[in-house]
Amino acid sequence: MPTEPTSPTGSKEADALLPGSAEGLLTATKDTAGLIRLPAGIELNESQAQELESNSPARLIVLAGAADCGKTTLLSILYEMFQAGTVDKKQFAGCHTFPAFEKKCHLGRTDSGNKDEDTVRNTYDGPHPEYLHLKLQNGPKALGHVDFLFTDVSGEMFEHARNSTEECKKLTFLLRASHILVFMDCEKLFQPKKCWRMAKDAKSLMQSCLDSGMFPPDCFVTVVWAKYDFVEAANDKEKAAAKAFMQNEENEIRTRFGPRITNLRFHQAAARPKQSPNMNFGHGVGELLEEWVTKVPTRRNEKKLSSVAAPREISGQAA
Amino acid sequence: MKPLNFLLIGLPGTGKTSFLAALWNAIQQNQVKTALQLQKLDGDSAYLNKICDAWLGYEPVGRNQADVETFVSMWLKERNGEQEVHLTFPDISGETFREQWASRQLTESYQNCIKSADGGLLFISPRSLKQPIRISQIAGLAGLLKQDEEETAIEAKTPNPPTTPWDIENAPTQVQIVELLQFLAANDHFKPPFKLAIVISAWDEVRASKLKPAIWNERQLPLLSQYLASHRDKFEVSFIGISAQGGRYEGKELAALQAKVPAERVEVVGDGIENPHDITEPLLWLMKR
Repeated sequence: MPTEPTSPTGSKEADALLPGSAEGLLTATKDTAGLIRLPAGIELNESQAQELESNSPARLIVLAGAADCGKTTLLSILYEMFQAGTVDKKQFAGCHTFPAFEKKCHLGRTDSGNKDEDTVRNTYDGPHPEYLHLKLQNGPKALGHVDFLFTDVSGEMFEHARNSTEECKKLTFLLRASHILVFMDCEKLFQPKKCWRMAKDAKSLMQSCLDSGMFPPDCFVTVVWAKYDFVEAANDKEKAAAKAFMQNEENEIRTRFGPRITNLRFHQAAARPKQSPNMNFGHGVGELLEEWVTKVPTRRNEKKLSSVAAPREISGQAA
Repeated sequence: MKPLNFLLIGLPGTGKTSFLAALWNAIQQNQVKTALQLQKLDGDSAYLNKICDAWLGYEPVGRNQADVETFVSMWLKERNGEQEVHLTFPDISGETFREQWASRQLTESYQNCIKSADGGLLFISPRSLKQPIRISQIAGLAGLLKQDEEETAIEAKTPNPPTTPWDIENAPTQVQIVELLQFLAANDHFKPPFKLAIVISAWDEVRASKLKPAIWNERQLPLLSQYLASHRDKFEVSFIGISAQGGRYEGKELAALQAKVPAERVEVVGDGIENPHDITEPLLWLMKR
């Protein structure tokens, strides 16, 4: 488990204070030495994540892309959506990283004192990601739960991977991924100096990952057009141009990588649609979640079948 | 007779001690025919008498101190039956539960309480609910209000105030409660299925909503609702709305309370509750095996 185990007390003094002893009312003063440490709830490190994956059929979702392209925002908004209720019938069943999620959501909440919503930025600290955890149930009648681990890494890590296959090979967590999301930032579609570079960077990252053998052949790769509210909010002319650009890019990516990525798709999301208030909060996030829950890489299926536990229970699919 | 041990779980100010005070009164009176009544006194009842006196005097019962864990014990019997029961409750300070969330530690004595627990009462107060509010929710509401151009221009020029640093203690109530339940369920001594009476305290505050306690919980604490629905194998739950005080100790409400027999101040709402003034009914549900 990713946490420090709690230890049984074995304390005779504490036992003497147990209910049911001779006296009707007993008062104790807390002994500072008699405290039991609980899991910290911060982001899981690599070994903690691997331990969780070995203990349960956890699904690893990798969010990849440049800095400030909306990776952490999408993740924190998914968490916020569960605070308000089920998400596309998926219900919350647990979290090992509550404080970490809470911290990430802070700048988007009124408690921060901010006027505008923002997201806590990740800083680069070598090719070792940190992970956030959610446990979900696929509808009220589903059997069992599904553990999800989400990478929480800086865009800089992927910049290194894009520029060097050697660096890319250091991102070993990619090999365990069930779903890889490559982010394209729609805000940049309206910035001529950044638009083409943004698209090139995303494709370079995919190329580097494929050439270094870091995309598992059965994993699901989704190119996410993040901050899609910028497209929706644009005037007709700009919107048409943006959509044409997106279509061209999708065609190119399909042509270039389709033969090497079996499960390739495209998706539009606006987790926090500030530019287009008519869009729903968490636009497109529920559909992504549906994919993560229902689409399982074949190696996962094999693992399930060979597992001691009942496959249906592990899958978390609706009964 | 082996005593039945019930945990009282709840963040600070959620009504655990008020519940005990009203309970201690209820089992020793006859105006309201409670399902359980006192069979005998055993040992020191000073603490229970103290909080009950405050309750009878329409005074706040006070909060248990953070560094003190008080164990109360009651020998009860069914009013319409022969079953006897020895109940014990650790009246653990709400601060102890806050420390589990904020300082990530629990006391050995609470660990021992879990070891011997036969069920629990989880207290949630509508008065102290901390909801997660996103900035865009407020901005959306503000947008509905008419603002003149001058006002908008001034607001746009106003620089962002410095960001308030994140404080773990300000996390939403439902997040803190789910974490407490996760800690409980992960404890080596946890025995599922664990009977958990979820007490929405100060029910007089939400009575006007006319919602059932379970529905109120679903609307106000959806994350907790989902968690419990996903863990029916671990927690067998019952939702109960309880007003142990009966209302606020001020103004007309106080006068109305003073016109009642003390035990009738108590209000109990929930599925299967037969007597709306019987604060022992949640215990009866916990006792059923």
